[in-house]
Amino acid sequence: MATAYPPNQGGVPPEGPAAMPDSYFTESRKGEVNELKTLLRNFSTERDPKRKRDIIKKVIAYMTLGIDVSRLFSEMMLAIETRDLVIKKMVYLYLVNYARSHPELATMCTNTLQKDCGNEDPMVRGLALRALCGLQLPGMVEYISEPLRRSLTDGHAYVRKTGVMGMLKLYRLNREAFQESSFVDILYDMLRDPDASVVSNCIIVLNEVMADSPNGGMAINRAIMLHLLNRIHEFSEFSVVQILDLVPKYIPANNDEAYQIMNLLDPVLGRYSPGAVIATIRAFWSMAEAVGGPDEEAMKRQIVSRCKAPLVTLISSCSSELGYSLLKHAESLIDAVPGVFDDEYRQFFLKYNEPTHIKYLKISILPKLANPENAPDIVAELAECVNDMNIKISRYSVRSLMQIACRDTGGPGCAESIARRLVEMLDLNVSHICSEAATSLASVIRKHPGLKSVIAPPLSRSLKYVEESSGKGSIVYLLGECSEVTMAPYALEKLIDTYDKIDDATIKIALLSSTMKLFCQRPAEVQAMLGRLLAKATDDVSSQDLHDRALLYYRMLESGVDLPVLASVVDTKTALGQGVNFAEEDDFELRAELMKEFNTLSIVFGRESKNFIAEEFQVKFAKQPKEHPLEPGSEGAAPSAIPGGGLDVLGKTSAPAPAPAVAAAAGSFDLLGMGDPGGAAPAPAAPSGGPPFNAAVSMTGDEYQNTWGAINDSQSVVSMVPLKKIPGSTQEVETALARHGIKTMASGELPTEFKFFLYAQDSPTGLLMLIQGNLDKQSGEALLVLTVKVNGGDGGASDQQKVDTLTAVMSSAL
Amino acid sequence: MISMIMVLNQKGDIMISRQYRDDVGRAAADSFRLQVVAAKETGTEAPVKRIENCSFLYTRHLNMYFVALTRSNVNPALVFEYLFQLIRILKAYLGEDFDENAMRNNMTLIYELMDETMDFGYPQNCAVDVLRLYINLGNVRPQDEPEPSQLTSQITGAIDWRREGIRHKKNEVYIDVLESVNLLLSSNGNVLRNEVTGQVQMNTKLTGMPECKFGLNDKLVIDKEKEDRKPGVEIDDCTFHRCVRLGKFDADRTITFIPPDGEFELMRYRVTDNINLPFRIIPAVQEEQGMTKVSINLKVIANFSDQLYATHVVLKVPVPKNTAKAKIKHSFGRAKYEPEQQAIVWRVKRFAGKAECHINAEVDLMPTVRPKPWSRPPINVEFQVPMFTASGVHVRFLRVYDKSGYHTNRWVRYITKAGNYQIRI
Repeated sequence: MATAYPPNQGGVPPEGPAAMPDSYFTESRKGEVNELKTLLRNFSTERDPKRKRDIIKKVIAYMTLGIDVSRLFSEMMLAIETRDLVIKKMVYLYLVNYARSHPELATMCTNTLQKDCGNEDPMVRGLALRALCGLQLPGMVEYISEPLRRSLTDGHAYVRKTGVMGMLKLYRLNREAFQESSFVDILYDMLRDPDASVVSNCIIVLNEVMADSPNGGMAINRAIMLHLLNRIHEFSEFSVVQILDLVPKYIPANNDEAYQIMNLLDPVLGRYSPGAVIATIRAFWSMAEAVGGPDEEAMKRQIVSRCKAPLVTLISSCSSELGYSLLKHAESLIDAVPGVFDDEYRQFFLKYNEPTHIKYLKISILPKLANPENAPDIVAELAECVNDMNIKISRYSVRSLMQIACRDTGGPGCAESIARRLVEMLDLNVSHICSEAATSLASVIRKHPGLKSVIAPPLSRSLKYVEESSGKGSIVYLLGECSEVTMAPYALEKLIDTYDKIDDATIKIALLSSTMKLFCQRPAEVQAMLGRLLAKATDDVSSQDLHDRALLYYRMLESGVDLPVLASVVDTKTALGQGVNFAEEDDFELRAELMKEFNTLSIVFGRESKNFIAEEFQVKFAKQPKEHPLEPGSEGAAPSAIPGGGLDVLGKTSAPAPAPAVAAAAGSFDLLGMGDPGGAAPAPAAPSGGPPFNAAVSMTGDEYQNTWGAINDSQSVVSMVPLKKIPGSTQEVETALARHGIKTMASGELPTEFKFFLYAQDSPTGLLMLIQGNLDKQSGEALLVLTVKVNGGDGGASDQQKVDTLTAVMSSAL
Repeated sequence: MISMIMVLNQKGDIMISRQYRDDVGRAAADSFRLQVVAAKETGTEAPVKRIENCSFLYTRHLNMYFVALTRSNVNPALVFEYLFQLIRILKAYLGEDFDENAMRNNMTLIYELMDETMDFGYPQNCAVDVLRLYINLGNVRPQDEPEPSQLTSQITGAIDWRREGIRHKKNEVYIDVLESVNLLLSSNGNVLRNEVTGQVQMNTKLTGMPECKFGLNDKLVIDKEKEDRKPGVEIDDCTFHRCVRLGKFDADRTITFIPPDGEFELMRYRVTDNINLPFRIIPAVQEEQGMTKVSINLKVIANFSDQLYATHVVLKVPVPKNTAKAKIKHSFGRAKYEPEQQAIVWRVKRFAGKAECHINAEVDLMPTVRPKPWSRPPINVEFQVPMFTASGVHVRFLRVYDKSGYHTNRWVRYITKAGNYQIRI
């Protein structure tokens, strides 16, 4: 190194947060940094790893505090050559933090990093790779590509998974370089990796890298989807979400496949992982939409009732932050499928020591759960909450009571009892409750004009002590509506006499229109006060609206309009008809849009993502693959669109009858590497009608063994059949298969697994298929793994198709 | 994906910040400090905050804020889960109630952990048991150093919650069944809400890769086995640790698993029917005319076998804010008026089963200029009853199978405590 000290570029690098404006303070810190520098250069520290650790630790500590320690760069780079893993990690951290501001120095350490990528310890290999990719220096691309490529075939999953994430970093650094190398294809290949965390990282990377493609992320086809779903139990709570998030994008080949997918996902609901549970609900939802048809609503209802118990358990036992997010999601499910959560209404009662944001949310959910059975309980609970010390909570509770009354979901008499409670609140003499109750009553009256007689009595006296202007305005409005109150004009008269003290325009406007309404009903009593009011109001210039209204009324009266005509002008027609709801309640469009973004922040904020996510962070959502859903019937022996037991998706009684055999005809890439990469010609489909396998075939044991041995292992095809449960004996499986023309050569039961040697003859081509099946009893998942060899097959796509047919037949048989 | 994770102290200063993506800067911390920390809105406002196109999802541990920043439309439950997992990991490394100092002293360890648990904004492996294999600063020390090459296969193996070759001199399993009873009684004695949430905590010290089978007196299982002993408990819903084979549970409701080593939570369940409430409390609270006096009469009955006893029983009976003094008569324990809690707090160290207690309190109020109605908050009860389960759940068996066929000692404990045990007055 030629220069001992890196050139000091004015002290503070552009990236470094200039946290210390005080120059005196900076100086003193500088002193400390210099001290560290001498310490690092000191020869004796070289020999004392513990001391060296401490010094470097101090450097890192300063770094986090925002103090600029970039001047120590060259010293730190020297420290990278160490066997001490702890020091290495710290230096890597330092390096990643400051590389951008010192690119020329950072390039110097690439050699060491590259060397570390070949270290014998997989841990070091992974760490070095992560640091190398994390440098994010444009000039580094050439150095990164090679170690990255090597890491993908590394023997250790830790390195592979780090390498996969490294590709994403490379992509962000230099898209051209990424696209030139065939990394995308490699990633698709790696979806078959035996390690679950590698697979989930592959999905993450593909989703981001392919974000600009028409699919808006990773391309999925049937083969990929089923492959991933069959392995879902291997994934950890974080990585399982990656797979679950793919499901909503997938269009199932047909309805049966949708049911099959739901059955595969069902166990995830039993996990204690809120993220996974919510993602599963979304996946279910999308499958229901894919099935569509007249049963869609019923199916969604069934889905929500299936998911209700796990969701409620999570809400009642998790922390408040998660609870908040879960409650928001529960709320949108309640909106989408009303009625299902009704019987769990007690879960939404407030606990005294919950954070208030949870309380608000629960109060807003409660009215949505009201039905004739539980309404009395809910109303009683909300009425309790009205007395809460927190003003916001008591206000919200009053509003929620109003919502129950306005929605009229509480059965007969409920609205009236709520109105009575609200009337009692008017007399409570607590300012905010009175005012809120008054506003709520105004809404209730608009929906239930018949309740006027209940509301009328206390109005004139409550006018005195309702202080807030919105409440006062509502009372004035109510007085105008309930003209039968004998005292009404006199209550208003007092207000008119103190007109100058009113400083809120809404009260004035309400006063004006109410007085007019009363005038139409009882002209004799009101005339005098109306005159005084109009005189004041026409002179009032504080509100344009008020002024204009007053003038209008004045001129109408002056021109001697008939009372009925006047009444029709004055009548504000605010009442709602039967079955009509307030506009706030009818936001179906927004809700439908939000359901599409279930399990994202959109639900928490209650807004569509386009309103709050910057454009470059928007993720396109496209359903795929394009050729799905397949037309039933076009593929031969397709089952009817909706089987009898179709709706029993979630109970585990109906066997998941998988789709008819369809070659994974998609194919921009040969995703699972099973078919012929050179353009898989769609092989002839199975003839419609007849059974796919010739039942008359038979073989001897020797023939079987010879044929098996004659076919190269590389030509065999592996596939999986999910079973309902582990069969009790081999006999069970054999008889079930024999019915479909699949014969058993031999079978056996070991303590840990079942083994089957089966064969079948493909009826259209007459080719023999030899099958070895293994069923692991210990894994807990009943999954029959098949190794199939086709005698005389070409080892290409047509074989794959035959195996697909076979898999389909077998899983329907078992 | 998450752009940045930061940890702030009470004042809003950054203690730890790890930037995973470069789309947010440290400046974001300032806006968080101004709008959340300074506004003191934790607890009142939602834990998700949007400031200028950047979403902040945060939680707290003691007085530290753990904040995740993101610009994209993330899955909120997952982000929170990650934050909690991070806190859980830090607890394992730094002790149950680690504070600011512990954080500062272990800065590098924390960065290591954050790098290992998240890469480029996506959560990676977060299992404490596995992390402690290769990050071993701080309090956590591995029992025995495994070979590095063997180690990584552990890090990402299919059974990532347990490593191979664990040895223990004594093979022991501790099972704790912890139940918390949630009760909400209305003032006239109606049950508004009553449920038990239970956890089965295990501490396993087992050699090798043992297969365990665990059984509760679950009604569905008992009915199937047709043993005419006590009827089983109807479990509404349960969730399991990742190690439990859900396929088997769905098929025949047996709980089988290969456990992680050490402490973990095997399952959680919820029961809503036939709950034995350990305490019955009958309140009578009267506010006298003119708001100068409140008289409180309470009867507390311990509703469990007289062989058992409850510990740490605390009853908080709220009184109005303007309480001057309270004359309390009670048969045992200690009771006094605690102004800072605005409540009469009655503590009993040991409350025998079937015992009954009366409390009688006359509360004098200070006169106020404007009479303010009293909100009458609920009576709050805390207790612990060892060897008692409110739901009636008990462990029927735990079988451990291992190739070497060693003998295992099993210890089972039950504790029922009060979750939200509230009686309105």
